[in-house]
Amino acid sequence: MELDWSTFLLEIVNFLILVWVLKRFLYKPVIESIAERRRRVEGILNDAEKMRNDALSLKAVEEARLAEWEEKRQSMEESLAEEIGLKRERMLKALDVDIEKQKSRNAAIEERRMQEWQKTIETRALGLGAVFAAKLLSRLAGPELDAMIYDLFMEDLEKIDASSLQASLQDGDVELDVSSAFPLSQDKRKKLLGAMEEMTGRTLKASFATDASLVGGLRVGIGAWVLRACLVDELAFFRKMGNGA
Amino acid sequence: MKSAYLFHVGMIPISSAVATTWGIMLALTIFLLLAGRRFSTEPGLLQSALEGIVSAMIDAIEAVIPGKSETLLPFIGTLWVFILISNLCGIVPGLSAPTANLSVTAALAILVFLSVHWYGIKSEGLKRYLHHYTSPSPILLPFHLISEVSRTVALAVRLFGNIMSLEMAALLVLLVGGLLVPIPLLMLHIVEALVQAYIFGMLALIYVSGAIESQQRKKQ
Repeated sequence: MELDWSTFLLEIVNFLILVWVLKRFLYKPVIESIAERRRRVEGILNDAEKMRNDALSLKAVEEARLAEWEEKRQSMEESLAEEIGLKRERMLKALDVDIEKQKSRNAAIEERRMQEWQKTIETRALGLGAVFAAKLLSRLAGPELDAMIYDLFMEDLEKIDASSLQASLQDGDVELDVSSAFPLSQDKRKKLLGAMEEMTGRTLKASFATDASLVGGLRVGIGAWVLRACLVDELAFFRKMGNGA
Repeated sequence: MKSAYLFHVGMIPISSAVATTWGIMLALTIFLLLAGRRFSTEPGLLQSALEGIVSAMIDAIEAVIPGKSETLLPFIGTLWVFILISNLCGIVPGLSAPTANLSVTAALAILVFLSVHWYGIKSEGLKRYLHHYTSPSPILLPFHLISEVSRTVALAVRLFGNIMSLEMAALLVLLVGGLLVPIPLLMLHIVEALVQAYIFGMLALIYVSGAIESQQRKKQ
């Protein structure tokens, strides 16, 4: 093991040259490349940071806008709810009015229906009463009843407006047609004719007939007038009243 | 072990270690020239590998002496690269590792010795740097001087001894065991080449950082 000075010195020189070579062709390019890339990365990071800041500011703006929209939405919702409440209240009031109208209408219909029903019942009752009275009167009919009806007729005759009767009569002969359930006596016929002539102021041409269908009483026809004092006509009138006439 | 001269350049004899060193330098220069042409901001595989190697060197230097990687990288990094490649040359058939030559390792050790003082003086100035040899007491001056010499010798002999012994062992095993038997030893050679390059470079880094930091400590 011996130190070779030429090798020793040459190796020193070689190493120094190698230091220069590596520094020139390895360390410097690599460090510059790394630094360049680091600069690029820093540039990208700066850009990214800037974009992030922009995005954050944009986000803040959008959030503010969203908050504003939300506030506006809530306000509109509240106004809408209030409007809906008012409309609902109005509609409920209108509905109450309609219900009241409908109730009153129903009550009127019900009342009318009740009236009609009552009328129907009354008509039926009157019809039944008429049938009953007709049966009863047909059994009670007789000369006595007939005489009583005659007397009543004579009393009622005084209450008739003579002027109206006289006005309705035509000039010339006036016929007096008298129908009775039972034959009238001569006395009653004269009395009746006399009363009628007195009332009309005219001489009457009287004709007397018997009609059993009248049941009781009499029916007097003069001109256009027919004076009814018989049970048949009374019952018919009674029945007619029951039918609403 | 006397160097066997291959040829002479003028009056200067050229040993195989020097020739191998020139070969390494030439190969490295060509490789770096070719690789440097492909450098771009979008690194390829080779550029990434080179950047990884240089970054690892910078990190190692920064770990020992922060803030001085730019100053120390050319010297320490070149030590690592040159010693590693020189060590690995030993496994190439027909070549001998330059670092198996004491003259080469001594040259490297002397360079480390000189660089320690260079960086120390550069850091604080000659007077203040020399003052640390008498600090804390002038009595310690001989010990400092012995330490400087011994560690430089140790650097040279450690690298030379390890690499030379590995090559020798591989040669002996090859002679005794046959063609394929030294393969495990060659694999050990690779590991040893890496370890010795790392140790040499780290020791040089520690010595240089010691010289710089001793001045900084005094300053503080």
